[in-house]
Amino acid sequence: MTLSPTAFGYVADLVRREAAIVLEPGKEYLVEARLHPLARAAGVADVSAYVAHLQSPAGRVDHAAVVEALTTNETSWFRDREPFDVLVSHVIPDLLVRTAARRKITIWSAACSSGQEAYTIAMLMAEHVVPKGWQVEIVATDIAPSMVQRTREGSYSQLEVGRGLPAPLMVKHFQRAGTQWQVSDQLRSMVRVQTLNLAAPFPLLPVFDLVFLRNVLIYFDQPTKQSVLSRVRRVMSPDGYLFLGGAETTLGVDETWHRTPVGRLTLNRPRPQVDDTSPPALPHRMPRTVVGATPTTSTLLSTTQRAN
Amino acid sequence: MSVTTAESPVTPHDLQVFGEEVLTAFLLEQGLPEAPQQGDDSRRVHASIAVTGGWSGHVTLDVSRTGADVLAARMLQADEVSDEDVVDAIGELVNVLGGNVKGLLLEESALGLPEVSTDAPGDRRTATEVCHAELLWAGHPVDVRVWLAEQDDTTPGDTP
Amino acid sequence: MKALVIDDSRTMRIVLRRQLEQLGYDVVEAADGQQALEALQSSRDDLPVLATVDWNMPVMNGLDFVKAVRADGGLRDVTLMMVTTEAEHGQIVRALAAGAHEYLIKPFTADALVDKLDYLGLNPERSVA
Repeated sequence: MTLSPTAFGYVADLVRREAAIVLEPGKEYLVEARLHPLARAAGVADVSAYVAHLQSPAGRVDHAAVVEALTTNETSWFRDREPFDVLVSHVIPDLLVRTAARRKITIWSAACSSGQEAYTIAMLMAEHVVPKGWQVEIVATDIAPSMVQRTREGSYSQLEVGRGLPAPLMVKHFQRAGTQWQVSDQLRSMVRVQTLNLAAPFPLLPVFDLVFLRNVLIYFDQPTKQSVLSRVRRVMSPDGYLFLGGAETTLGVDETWHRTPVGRLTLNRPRPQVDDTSPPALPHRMPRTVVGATPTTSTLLSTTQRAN
Repeated sequence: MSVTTAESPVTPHDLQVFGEEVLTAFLLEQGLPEAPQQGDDSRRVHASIAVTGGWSGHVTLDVSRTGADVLAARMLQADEVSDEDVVDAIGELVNVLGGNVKGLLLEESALGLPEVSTDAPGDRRTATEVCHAELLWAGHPVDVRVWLAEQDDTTPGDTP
Repeated sequence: MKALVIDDSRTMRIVLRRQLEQLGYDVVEAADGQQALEALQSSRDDLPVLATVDWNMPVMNGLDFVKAVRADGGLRDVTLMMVTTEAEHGQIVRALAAGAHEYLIKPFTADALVDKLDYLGLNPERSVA
């Protein structure tokens, strides 16, 4: 009756690879419940038979539907919180100064999944940047066409909006549409989506002031990490900022990046500042960071999470 | 199996979506034994919640006693459940479904408090069934219906 | 850290208690708004940092409870999170306007509760000194 560990492992691996979402053992019930309708639609006896079908060449076309069925409630808004705090407290103020002439900020949400990250950024930009007269363009890309489509639609289930979307922002930027919640036209107009494979040469992209490449490098081997980081660097403004996931670093992978710790987070920038002895426009509110030849350790590890 | 009329504010698909969300949120906790698939299905648990206001009617839930025991045990993460547990848990499930259905209404309406009976279903003679879906929760069929109250001025309890 | 769970459903109180205790909260319960208000007013020197508030309850509903708490300056440090099946856009606006800080729609997953507490800075697991 219950899914075998092998079958569960296959599905968990598929979802991890395609959507960078980890289904831990114990979520077998979830897999069964979500795949049951797909198994029924495919006309197979049960979920185990359906997983066997997925592993066959004929089953490949159904992988996208499986990934979608299993990832709908697993992605959070403001995922990890801290990158978005730092975005507002440090990065946006700095970018507003640096882009004062052109009054435009261009952002890349790479591996955007179903779009929560891109729209989280859009909400913060709508709050802190757009009212100042800046134009904001967010390019959201994913390798999976189904994820790109979901991001384009901007329609989320009740369980999905429950995942970390603060209620004041929810009522500001979302409206109910039947059982779903629809993101506002204002946010959607800021986000442009396209399919993109990070591991292959990039299509023509704008120059980005800000790149979110979170929780995706961990799934690549070392040479691929290097080539991805090097390609990303070439589409970034020299003054830009790169956000990686909590378990990811450019350290020891690509030494051309300049790393600045802010709190528990490390900001990666394409080139060192012209004068390394004067710290970049960093926080008055937060303790001064150490910027030097080898900024490898943060003195701020004890900084506790701030309440709202 | 599924009934919808033009007057229904909710479709069987909507009910399936809500049912799926309830299942995911409250009934999939790990570490529970596989749900028993057999049992005395002649005993039923009936639950109902009223919606009143711009749209008036009921949302009802009907499940076998065996199924109700399993659902209550899953929500409470308990090995054994009392009658009181079952009444409370099934009442909360119909409350959640009722609130979700109310969320689809265009007219402003208010939700009542859930009523649960282990004897007989409530009297629906003054209401018309407008939507029906059979959910499958933890291996147990759960019958969910939406009823439109008849706009009869003489019926006590109906909103004018 | 102490949390007050307010819900007329014992099942829901147990679900919330379990999830909050797993995060390290000490949980107290109330079955309606009136009971909850009295509990807060009689424990002013040991107030919970968080109250989860159901909307539809007998005696005093959650919205009136939120208004009553907001009218009492001594209770201002209690973070109020509606946890309710009321799911209309307008209802969320009403609850926030009355003074609720957060809003979680039932049904919700344990992960969703954790996300909300993370955002509020009220997850005991994360706020290690």
